[in-house]
Amino acid sequence: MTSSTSLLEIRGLRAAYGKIEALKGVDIEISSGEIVALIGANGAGKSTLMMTIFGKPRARAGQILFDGRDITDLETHQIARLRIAQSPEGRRIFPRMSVAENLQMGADATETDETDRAAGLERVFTLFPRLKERMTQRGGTLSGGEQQMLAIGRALMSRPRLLMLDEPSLGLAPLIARQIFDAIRTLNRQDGLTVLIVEQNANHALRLAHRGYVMVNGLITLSGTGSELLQRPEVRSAYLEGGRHG
Amino acid sequence: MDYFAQQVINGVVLGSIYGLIAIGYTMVYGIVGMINFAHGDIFMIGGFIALISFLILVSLGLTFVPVILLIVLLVSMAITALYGWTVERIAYRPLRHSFRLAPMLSAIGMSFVLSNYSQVAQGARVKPVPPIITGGYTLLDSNGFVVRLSNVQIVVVITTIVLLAIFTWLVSRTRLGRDMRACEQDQTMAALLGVDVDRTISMTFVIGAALAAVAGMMYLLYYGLVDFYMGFVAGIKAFTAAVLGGIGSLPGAMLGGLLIGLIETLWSAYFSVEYKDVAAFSILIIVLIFLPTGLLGRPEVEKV
Repeated sequence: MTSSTSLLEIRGLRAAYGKIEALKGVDIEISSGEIVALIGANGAGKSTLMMTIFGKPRARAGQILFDGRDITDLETHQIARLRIAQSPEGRRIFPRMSVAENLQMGADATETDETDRAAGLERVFTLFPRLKERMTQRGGTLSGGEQQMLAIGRALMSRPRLLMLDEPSLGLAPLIARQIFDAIRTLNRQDGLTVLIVEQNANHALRLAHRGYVMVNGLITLSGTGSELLQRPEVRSAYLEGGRHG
Repeated sequence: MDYFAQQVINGVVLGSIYGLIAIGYTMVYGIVGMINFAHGDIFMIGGFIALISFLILVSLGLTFVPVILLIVLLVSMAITALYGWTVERIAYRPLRHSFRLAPMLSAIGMSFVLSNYSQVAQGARVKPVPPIITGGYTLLDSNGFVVRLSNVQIVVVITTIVLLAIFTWLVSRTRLGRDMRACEQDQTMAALLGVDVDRTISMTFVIGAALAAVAGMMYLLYYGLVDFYMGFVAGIKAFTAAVLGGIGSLPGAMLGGLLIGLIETLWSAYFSVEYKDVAAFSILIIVLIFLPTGLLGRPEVEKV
């Protein structure tokens, strides 16, 4: 399913931490304007895939193409400057910086124009009004949900072409999780933002996404549209049934 | 009381010099987690470059002291910064992903390299200069004891204050400062946001070396001499100051410098000059027993 509009294309990607191989030949493709979900159990390699796209760790084999350009060997900061943004595992808010500075960090590398920055900030406030009240507070003092909003907001500040979200609903109250999923949907519909989302909550993620991939032990085992995957018995038994959403 | 006032003035001047050096230790520790043992020698290099550029300017026929001082300041900051950059590039960066002790050992080696290099290039003898800034004010004159504030002391303290103000602005308000703090808190995340971590670390060394150069020049003005060995003791004192204030904390480094300067001068004034180092280091030990992270250091619990 090679298409000319493919924004991110990953071919035969392998990566390892020391001797432990975490990605064993992954193929993934994301078109412009798509929301793609990556689901799988703990330790399947989902977060590793997101980090390998940024060169941390470096790919041992395979190719990562962004907008047709080979970015496999670029430095991490150079990849970020292509407007690929990530809200990573564990959120990684700068704890001793204010919320305002955390957001500025997101904009610094790509948004040099002061009016662009202001517009970006407004966009983030519209999605997460809570952050506006917390601007002067230190990142480390925010609640889990607020930190998640900040991590996503920070990623959005670079006006990304590709947004990668690692478990945006992890540890959040259902109401806040829904808020965040709604925000992602809005961004996709209004601004045509391309999103790669990693989730353990497969039900939520597959309902949100246009397409999905299932990852098992460092390999993609299934792919299809969100509703297709939701119907598959192996997906249901592994990731849906027995869980909260049954 | 007059005697005490005079010693406090002297202590503050010495403390300013220690503080400027201590910032370099604390900044590098904060961002790469290593003690840059060559930093004291960078301070010594700064002193030598100040001396050399001063002599060159005088031999060129310049006589207007403020202009000479300003040029000497800028030249020694620039060239010493280049030394700091080079040391990081050749001795620390290749070892960044090696085992933890490797860069520290390399730093100790670099310290020897720099001091021996100066010894070979400039000779082992103390290099004196005639007083460049003379005169001063008499603040108090009671019963024959005079409290004096010399012009050199004023220059040292004011220069330190101005540079600290610029430095604080840089760290808290500019993009470079923000990048430095981001790298200090989470290098991986900084890189994910497009921060060039290697370049930011280089800049940290450059800024630290530039401040040490200012300290070197102030030392030259104040004591009127430099030698190849001066970086060792001053470096250890400034390192003590950084630890006392809380390593990793910038205000802590300045406070620690001031305290070490005051302790040293006051101890020398009332007890014995021979034991002034013992006094400074003892205070460090006592403070660390009760406040293991130093006066303004933060406890290592903040992990998300």
